[in-house]
Formats: sequence, C-alpha cells, structure tokens
Amino acid sequence: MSSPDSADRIEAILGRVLGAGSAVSTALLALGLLLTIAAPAAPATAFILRAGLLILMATPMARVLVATIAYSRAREWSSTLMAGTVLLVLLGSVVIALRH
Amino acid sequence: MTPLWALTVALAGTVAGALGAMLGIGGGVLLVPFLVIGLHLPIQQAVGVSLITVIATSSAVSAGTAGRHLINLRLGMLLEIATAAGGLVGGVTAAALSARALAWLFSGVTAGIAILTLTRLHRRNVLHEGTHPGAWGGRIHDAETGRMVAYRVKRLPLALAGSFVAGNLSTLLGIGGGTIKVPLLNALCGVPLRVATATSAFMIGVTATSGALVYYGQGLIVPSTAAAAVLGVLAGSTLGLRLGTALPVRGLKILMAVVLLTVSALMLVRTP
Repeated sequence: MSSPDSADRIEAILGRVLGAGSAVSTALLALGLLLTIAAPAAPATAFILRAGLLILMATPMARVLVATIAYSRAREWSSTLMAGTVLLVLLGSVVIALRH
Repeated sequence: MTPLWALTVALAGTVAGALGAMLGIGGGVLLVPFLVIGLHLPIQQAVGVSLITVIATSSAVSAGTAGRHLINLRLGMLLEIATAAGGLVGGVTAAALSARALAWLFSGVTAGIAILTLTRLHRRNVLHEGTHPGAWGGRIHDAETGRMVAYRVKRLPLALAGSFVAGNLSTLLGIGGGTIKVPLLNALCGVPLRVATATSAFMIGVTATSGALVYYGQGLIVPSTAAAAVLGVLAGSTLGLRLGTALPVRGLKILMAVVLLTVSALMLVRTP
C-alpha cells in the first residue's frame, strides 16, 4: 500500500507526461494535416505526420515507463512489478509491429 | 488527400467525439461505422484510425483528471496488464478475421451494450462507507455529504477477466472498451462510478496502444486520415463534456441505446 503523499506525487508526474505527449503529438498532427493539404508532396509532410503518430503512441508507453521508475524509487515493489509487466506487454506489441 | 476529405473526417470525428463524451462511451463506437459505411474505408483501417483517437482522448482526459483523486492507479495498472494483453491479442487476430466477421462482431457488441444500458436506467451507485479500503480500494471525496468515503474492490478475478475481454474487443473493433469495464467495475466490483470512469479512461490509452502498434506495423493506419480524426475527436469530446453535464442522465441513456441499436443494425446491413 503506497503512502498517500507518494501516490499523489506519482499521479501528478504521470499527468504531466500525458499532458506533454498529448500537446506535442496534437500540434504535430495539426501541422502535418495542414501540410498534407498545402504541400502534399513535400518530404517534411509525411515525416511530421508519422512523428505525430509515433509520439501519440509513445505517450502511454512513456507514462508506464515513468510509473515503473517512480514506483521502484519509492520502493513500492508490487506496483513496480505491475507497471513493469504492462511495459513488457507493450514492448511485445512493438516487437510484433517491427516484424511486419 | 483532398481538403474536403480531411474536413469530412474531422467533422465526423467532432460529432462522434461530442456524442461519445456526452454518453460516456467514447467516440470510436460511432466513428468506426461512419468511416466504414459513410466513407467506405476498409473496416481494419477504420479501426486503426479509431484506436489512434482513443489514445489521444485517453492522454488528454487523464492529463486533466490526474491529481484529483479519481484515478485508482494501483487498480488501473493491475487491470492494464489484462487489457494490454487482450489488446495485443486483438491486434494480431484482427488481421486474420474477415471484414464481414468483424462487422458482425461490432454489431453484436453494440447491441449488447445498448441492452445493458436500457436495463440499468434506474440504477443508482452507492458509495460504500467502509472503514478501510483494503489493498486495491481507495478513498474519494463524496460531493453529496462533503466527506471522504472509502470503497473496497470486490471480485478482483472477475475485474481482470472482464478487462482482458474489454482490451480484446477494444483493438478488434476500435472502441475504448470503457463501455464494458465501467459497468463491470461499478456494478459488480464495488468501484464508485466516477472512479471507474476516470480509471478506465486512464487505462484505455495503454490498451489502444497495444493494438494500434500492431495495426501501424501492418500499414493499416493512414497518417493523414488519423490526424484529421484525432483533431476532430479532441475538439468534439471537449465540447461534449461541457454539454453533457447540462442534460438529464436518463435521457442520455435512452439516446445512447437508440444510437447504439441504429449503429448495430447499420453495421449488419450495410457492410459489404
């Protein structure tokens, strides 16, 4: 059972990770969409859209990674184990995605 | 991609996101049928796009709710193991299933959710004033009494099994899966509705990511369509959350059941 203080602190950190990832990916997708309409053939267009999508998908993964680190530093081993297991499942998805 | 196509997808996302947020079912359940029936996108591509919007909504919503004592982090992470595993399996099997089979499954699940909603029209959710929340429960501020109240989590194995199924259906059909998890956690596992909703919204980002990565790897996610849908859904859900609080819950539930039954019938009849 985590202490209320460290649980609050960790929740706030995870919220900031999600907020930052969400803001950056949405901005890139909006820019990419504008470029798709204005300059569809430009190499930067495809790059920016893909970067937006990858950052969007990486955001929940970053949240799980940060949670794993934060729980291990707070010596909350059962929570560390759970977050670490979720991270492993997500890495499994990455491996499957890369195989194609 | 023409500007008209981008605008159509973004508008569809806005309407789906607004209705989804008002009804608490997420935008995917409406966006997928629109992309398939209205814009003739192959169902696997529509699901891929929808999963991307689910991730965007989850991150944006949870960034706002984090720190308000509504997300049960420990319970969320335990159940995420099940939803992410279910999501991974769903992503892999989606490619193997025919479009027709997926449409039938979509139709069946939406009809099931509609019926479940109609049978729960009058149910109120009571907080349990336990003295100790136990290993998985927590405490929240009860707005009605103005006090901190505790709740315990019951039937954890059931919550885990349900989360696996929700994760699986989520990435097969491009829906968040909250429609399955929230009633389950609330009605059967003793979790207060607001906590169940916030914890589910927190989890679906990870669930959708486990499937979306697999779709992305198979080239099933068209980046420009996904971008237009994300922007539409984010705008729509912001709008929907504002409008949602002004409407009576019972009316919303009936509206939701009607919408879902229509979607269910359309997916059955109109998918080629």
